[in-house]
Amino acid sequence: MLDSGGPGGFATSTGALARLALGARVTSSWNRDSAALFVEGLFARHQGEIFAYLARMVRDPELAADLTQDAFIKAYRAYDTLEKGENARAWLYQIAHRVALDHIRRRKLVRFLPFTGESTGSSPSAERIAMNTRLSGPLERAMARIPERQRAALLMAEVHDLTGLELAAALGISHVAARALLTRARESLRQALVAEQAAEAAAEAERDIAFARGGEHGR
Amino acid sequence: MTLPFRRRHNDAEASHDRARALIATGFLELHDPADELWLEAHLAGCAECQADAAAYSADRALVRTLRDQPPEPPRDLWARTAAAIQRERGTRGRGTRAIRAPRGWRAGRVPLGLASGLLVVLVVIGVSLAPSGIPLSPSASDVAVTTPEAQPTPLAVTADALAWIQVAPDGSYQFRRASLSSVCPDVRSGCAPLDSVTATNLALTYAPEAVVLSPTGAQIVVVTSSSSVGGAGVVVVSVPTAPPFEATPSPTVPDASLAPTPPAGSTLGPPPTLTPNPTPDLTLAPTLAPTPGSTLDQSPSLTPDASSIPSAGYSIASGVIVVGDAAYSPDGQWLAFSARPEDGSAGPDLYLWRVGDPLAIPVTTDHRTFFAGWLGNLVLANSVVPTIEEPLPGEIAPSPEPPTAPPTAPPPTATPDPGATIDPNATEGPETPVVEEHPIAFTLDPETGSMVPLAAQDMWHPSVDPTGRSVVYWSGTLIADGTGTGWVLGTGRYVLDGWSDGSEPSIDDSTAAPTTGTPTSFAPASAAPTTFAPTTVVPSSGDPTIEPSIPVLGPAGNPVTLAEGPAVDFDAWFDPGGDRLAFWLADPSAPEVGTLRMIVLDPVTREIDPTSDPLPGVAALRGVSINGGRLAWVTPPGQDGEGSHVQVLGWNGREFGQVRTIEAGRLFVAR
Repeated sequence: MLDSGGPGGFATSTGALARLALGARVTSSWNRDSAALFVEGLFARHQGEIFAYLARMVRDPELAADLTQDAFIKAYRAYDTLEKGENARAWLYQIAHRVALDHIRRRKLVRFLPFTGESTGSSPSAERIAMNTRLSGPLERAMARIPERQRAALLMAEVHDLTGLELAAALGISHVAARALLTRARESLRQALVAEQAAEAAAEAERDIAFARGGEHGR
Repeated sequence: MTLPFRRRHNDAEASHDRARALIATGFLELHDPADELWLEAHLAGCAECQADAAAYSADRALVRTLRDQPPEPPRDLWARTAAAIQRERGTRGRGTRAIRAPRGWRAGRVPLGLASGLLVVLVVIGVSLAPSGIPLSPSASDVAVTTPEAQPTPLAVTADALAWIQVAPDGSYQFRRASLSSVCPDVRSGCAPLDSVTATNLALTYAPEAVVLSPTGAQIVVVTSSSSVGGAGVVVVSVPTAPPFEATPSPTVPDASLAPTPPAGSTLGPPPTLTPNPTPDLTLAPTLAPTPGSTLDQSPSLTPDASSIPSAGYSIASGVIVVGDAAYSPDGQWLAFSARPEDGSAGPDLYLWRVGDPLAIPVTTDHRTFFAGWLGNLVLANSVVPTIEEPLPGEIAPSPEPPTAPPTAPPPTATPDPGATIDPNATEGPETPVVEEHPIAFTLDPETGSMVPLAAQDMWHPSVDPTGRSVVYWSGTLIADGTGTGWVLGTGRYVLDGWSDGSEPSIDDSTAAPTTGTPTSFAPASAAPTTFAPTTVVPSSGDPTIEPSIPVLGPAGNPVTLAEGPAVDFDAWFDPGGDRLAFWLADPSAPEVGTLRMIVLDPVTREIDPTSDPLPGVAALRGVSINGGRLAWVTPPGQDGEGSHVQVLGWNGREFGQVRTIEAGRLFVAR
């Protein structure tokens, strides 16, 4: 459910974000040229962090690029929903966050289908391989274990340095709820890291056993 | 199972929960003073919460390590996004136009003005009935303002500056420099043209054929062609190293820190003093005789140097045609090139010029030696093994001292350069069978004159990467071009191979001498080099004149074919890191024009990276410039109806893009 009035500090017109979520057209006050210029500036300033945020949310750089593009198009459509320019960053994060959650929700629906949804080519690109390597460490795997909204809160707060008010705005929840969500995210991450370490230890023990067995057979 | 009621925490649990919440949110923002005091008091008496605080802190530090390596967006992201936004706008327009008039109405049945008026009305009505229910009333800007074209996201690069000589419409020559900070995926619709930051007028009386920039950037070597008024030769010109001209329009002397400085070790005098002329002339006068000290021409537009060393420009070789590239040693102390007499009386010899000396010195006299490149601070050169009745190759002048007289010239004959096409009408008389001749390669220490022949056979014009791990060369024979003084490529192929510094197995152990481990750092060959002067070396297989202690420098023996013969001419250049290779293959029908390609080598395996093909093959004039972060070449005139440009391929890691200068008449990129 969307808050009206922007509990996190940036003002949004009532229902504007709902229209955004529905992909609705914008109001008559909307000026296409101003919107295009505004989005161009927004892109120049924030494309890197938005892409990084989405890449860590969906763990796929090519998909993240598509979602980043999608987010900026939505920003263009929703230009008139931003009433204070200084809140543009949190506003943009909110759009990107919803784009990511929408995708993840759709992906869950099609996950059981073989070879659909994520694969975009016959072989992964070098960029994708490099990114996957970068995203496949214990921390990234632990981050992947925790719920998406908690992951988003952690990323926004710790990696992208959003303030508490910005975090609430970007997540579309109240300040109190954002703080609570972040607390739960830290606890979830803690448990996920422990689980990751346990899984790694188990895998290592299994390799040791296999190695020992191989040595016995080799004698 | 869902409990029918919510379990209530007891007081202790509630206080722990509150403590954890405050710890967790404390990283985000400051607490109220009351909360802070409460938390301090609680932590003082709660070991469990202290452990939680420590764990949260450690986890937070771990998460923040993600900031160190942010994923980089693709460089075309803006192009895609802008195009999508443009489509979005177009879609809106089409949506409004798609609203059809009621049946029975046809535009052709009513006057045009009435039809258009009705259309406007219908559009407004139609939009008001759109599914969103939000009436659209397009403003004037919605209709009249055109969408700016989607521009690709420029790729920021850290690249070395580039320089070129440009021929102005009035026929004068200008030396220009430019710095490169960004490139674009699509050079035609991407970055703005690369503009020069300095422009220096050169009063050259010679037509330039090639330009070489010294490593310090303080001087250029201009190779002049035989079509010049003063004849062919090599001249050295001091050039400003800072961009003072546009930046200082007033006729004041700029800050001393911006003044150009002579290269280290150079005995050249101070650079030209700036005059009120915004584009000072650096005058070169033709010199016909290479007499030391007599080739100077103090430009009247420059303040003459008090020393006897020229500061403007002077000829270091005249009456000779440079064959192939000229190149500075990596330390900038030497310039090497091969050249033959302009009158065609003999084949090429190797010339060395110590920076600051009055003249370049021919250090071979066999008239069949070709400069190939630098191997560290050693010269890497080729000679052609003569047939049995011909003089032996590689006769080196006794010392690198300047000669007291120009080399004696045999009777003039035509001397096409290697790589030139064979002219079937060039010779008259009885036909002679084609004899394939074999090139040899050797290194020469310019400081000591020591020469070390390489064991590899038929390795012609090798280019070794600056890190000493790979080499590109023609693996094949040469054929005399019929003039008696020149050769063309024979049977063979153009290959990329690993480079052995002598501590690894050579290409052919049957012909290789025992290795003695010449270091890869390319120090002068201290491992028992063979002093060349005035001995004769014929390093054919099994020849007794080859000493067994010759270090086995050379190809590692895993050649990969870049181009199959027959070929007309080629050249190759590695970037300073040795991982990017640009090579140029001449067009058989017009050898001054060729195809330039760049490939990327795996830094570890040295194999060609099949996933990276940044320059699949473009038309380029002979002679390119490669340096850190960029490759520059001159496009042939007439491409798409345009004149020549200096075109630059820049890179940042695995990403590449291009930019180019504005169109100009004739261009010579400084190598």
